[in-house]
Amino acid sequence: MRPLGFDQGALQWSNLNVLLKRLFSTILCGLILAPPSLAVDRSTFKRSEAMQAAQSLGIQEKVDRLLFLRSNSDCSSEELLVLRAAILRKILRAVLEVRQACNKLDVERAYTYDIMQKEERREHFVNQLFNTANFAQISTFYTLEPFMRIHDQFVTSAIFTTISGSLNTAISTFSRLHGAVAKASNVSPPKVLANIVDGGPVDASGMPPLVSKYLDAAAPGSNKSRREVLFATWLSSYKIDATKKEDLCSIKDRKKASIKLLRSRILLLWSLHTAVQDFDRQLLCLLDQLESVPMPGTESSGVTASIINCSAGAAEMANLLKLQPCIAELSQLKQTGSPSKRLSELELRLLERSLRGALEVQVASDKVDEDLYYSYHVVLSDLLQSRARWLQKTYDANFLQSGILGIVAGRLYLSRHSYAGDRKFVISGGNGTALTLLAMWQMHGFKRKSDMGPNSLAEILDLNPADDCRFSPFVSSLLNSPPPGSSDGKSRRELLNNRWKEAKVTTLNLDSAKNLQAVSAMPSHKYDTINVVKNRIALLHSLKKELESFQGEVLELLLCTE
Amino acid sequence: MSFDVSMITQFACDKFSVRSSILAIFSAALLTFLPSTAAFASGELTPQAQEAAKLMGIEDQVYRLLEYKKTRSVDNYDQETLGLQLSLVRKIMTTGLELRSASAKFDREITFEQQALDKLTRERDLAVSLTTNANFLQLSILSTIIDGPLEQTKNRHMILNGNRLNIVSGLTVGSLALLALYQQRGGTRHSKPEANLLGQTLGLEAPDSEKLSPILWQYLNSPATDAAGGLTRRQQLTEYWETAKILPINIKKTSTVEQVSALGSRHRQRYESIKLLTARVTMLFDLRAMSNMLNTGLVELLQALD
Repeated sequence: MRPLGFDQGALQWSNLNVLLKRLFSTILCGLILAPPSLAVDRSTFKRSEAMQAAQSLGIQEKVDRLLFLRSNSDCSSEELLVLRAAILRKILRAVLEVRQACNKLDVERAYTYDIMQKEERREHFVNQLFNTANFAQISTFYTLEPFMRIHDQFVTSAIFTTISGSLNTAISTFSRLHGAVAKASNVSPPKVLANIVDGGPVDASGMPPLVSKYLDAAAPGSNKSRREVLFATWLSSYKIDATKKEDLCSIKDRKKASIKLLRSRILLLWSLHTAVQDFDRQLLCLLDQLESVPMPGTESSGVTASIINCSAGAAEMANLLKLQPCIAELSQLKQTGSPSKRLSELELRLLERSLRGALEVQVASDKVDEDLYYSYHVVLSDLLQSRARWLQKTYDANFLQSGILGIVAGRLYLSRHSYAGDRKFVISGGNGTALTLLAMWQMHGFKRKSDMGPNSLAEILDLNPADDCRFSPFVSSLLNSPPPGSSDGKSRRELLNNRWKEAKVTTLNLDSAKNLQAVSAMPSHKYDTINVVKNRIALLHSLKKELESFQGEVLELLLCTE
Repeated sequence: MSFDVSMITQFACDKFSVRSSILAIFSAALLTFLPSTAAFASGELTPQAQEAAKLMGIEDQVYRLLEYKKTRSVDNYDQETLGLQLSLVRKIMTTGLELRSASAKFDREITFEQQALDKLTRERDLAVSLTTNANFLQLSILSTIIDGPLEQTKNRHMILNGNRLNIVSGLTVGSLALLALYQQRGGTRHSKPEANLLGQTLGLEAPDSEKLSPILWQYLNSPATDAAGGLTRRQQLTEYWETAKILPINIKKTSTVEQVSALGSRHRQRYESIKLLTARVTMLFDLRAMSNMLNTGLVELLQALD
């Protein structure tokens, strides 16, 4: 009989062994299967986005049928053509509806900007008047007081001191009060723009039908509609409750509105604009999904591409969209002049791919736009506001302390306590110096925790951001290829980097890795400053300009194949 | 829709003289306009869609496709219908991209002007802040000196010097305040200004590079379908700029129009002030927004074709 302890030990050891083996095999399986399974997840996500887009457009049946027909080699090519044409028309409509919605929001934003800037100019002018009035009275009394003392009129001098101190305090207080109650007047849109600007609450209503459907649908993996998610973000980030119409910054039928309200309106309009633009990405997923299954009988005809008579930009776009053989054959068929099924097939292919190219560029441009507006409307606006607020507070404190101490000193002089009065001015002078030095330090601005994550510049500046912060392979290949007619073979990305450095687009040294990480908001960069954000905005503007030029190439491609 | 007028004339002269010719001309007119009025009356095309189709020169094709839709099923293959559909989609897509290109041009001009404006504003704000700080600083330091060592003494000479220094400080306060007031205007632009898209809109002879595409220009020069008073979109904008007082300049003056468009003999770089740049950026934003409205017509046209 074996000792019990041995048996138990052996059993435990064998259990442990099994456990270890299982654990090892699980880890091994995980390591082997993780990348493909993640890829499956990503493609599943993209597919569900594509299917949701189809649902929003009301063409799910058509898309399902098209995918089925494409996987079936002996399908009717005529039915395929009809389906593809209908789907293309619907996607184009959705793309244009997104633009329409964005334009509408742009119009509202432009009008709100006009009013806000007008009011800011007015407030700036009034503040300047207050400051000048305060300095003017100080200058007058400060000159008269010693003049009176030189002529032995000490009482008059003391009275002047008291008056100056009182005026100083009163003017600073009025300045603060005016800042608190000032409002823009006549904010309601004028009659001449009645058919263009609405000025109503920013409640995401009145959107084109397909955009409305998109906003009312839940994003894949979420049980809330996009509209609800957007409103929840407004509540958590901007403390605006979208269920209350009066909170949604309407300027319609209003006579007056504060700068704060106008600023919030612009922020909401921008936020909604960003949400709507995201539909572009979903539509691109749908186009990708439709292209993922090869279609029988529409690929290359073997015709050479040399007959294409297009500009270099259009030829580059045709090459990237793999359209050269298609265009070559299309132009040959068009020369014969007779409409045929093959001609329609090629024309459809050209339109589908051109739309895809335009949409790829649009999605990339939307991303830069999003980064740009967040940097401008949220980060920079926050930093500038806090600097202006603190500077003004310091100036007011300076005027107030000198005013109050001036009143006290005046009273002391009148009571013939001139030594004590002088001491008050010495204290006031010390306070003034300290507060002025503080204001000079505040002029640099403060810091703000960086909360936006890597932006579109990260890829351009070669900082290897995560995949979801990169442009699509199509846009990346455009950026990483030399522009047509380039003699030195440098890619657009390299040229852009060189241009930024040579033209000194930024006030930061772009050879420093730390600065590059700061403008790209990489995770290692913790705090944003006014200088960093201004430079980031300048670079993002330049990048957007580069991206938008690609849409011109798609247009040229369409025009040269008409 | 094509119609052979010579046939009517011949028909009219040979057979029924004046009465018949009136009838024939009326018929021709009816045949030409019937499809559009019928489609419009049946609510198939909104005014915006109709306008967009007209601007793109595809009215006939649109009405033909709408007619086909009534008589045949577009879900079945038909070479002519498919060809027509694709041709319309191509035209709409091209116009949409033209709009995007125009919008990108506006963006570039706005960014260019905004950067110049930001630079001027930054310089102005820095100068004003430095002057204000200098004012506070001299006031505080001299006040400490005057009311400290110079005044708190029995030496009459030092007291007199303290009072004199006080007068100097007082006058310096006034001078620096006046300087800050003058600095509020800001300086003038350093970078070279470039002609912009406002010139053509404001009625100046603009170079070709600064002209809007013909379709967009035509769009701006036609009255909005729902505008009051029959004003063209360009007139609407000009009236807004002139009456709403949102611009810090008076665009009723020809010289100001030339300056804001950076065009013409009356434009000089030294006129490029903060006020002028602010107005230019505002006007470019407004013009871009107005031009982009053409997109609505394209969308409604596609909606009608669905």
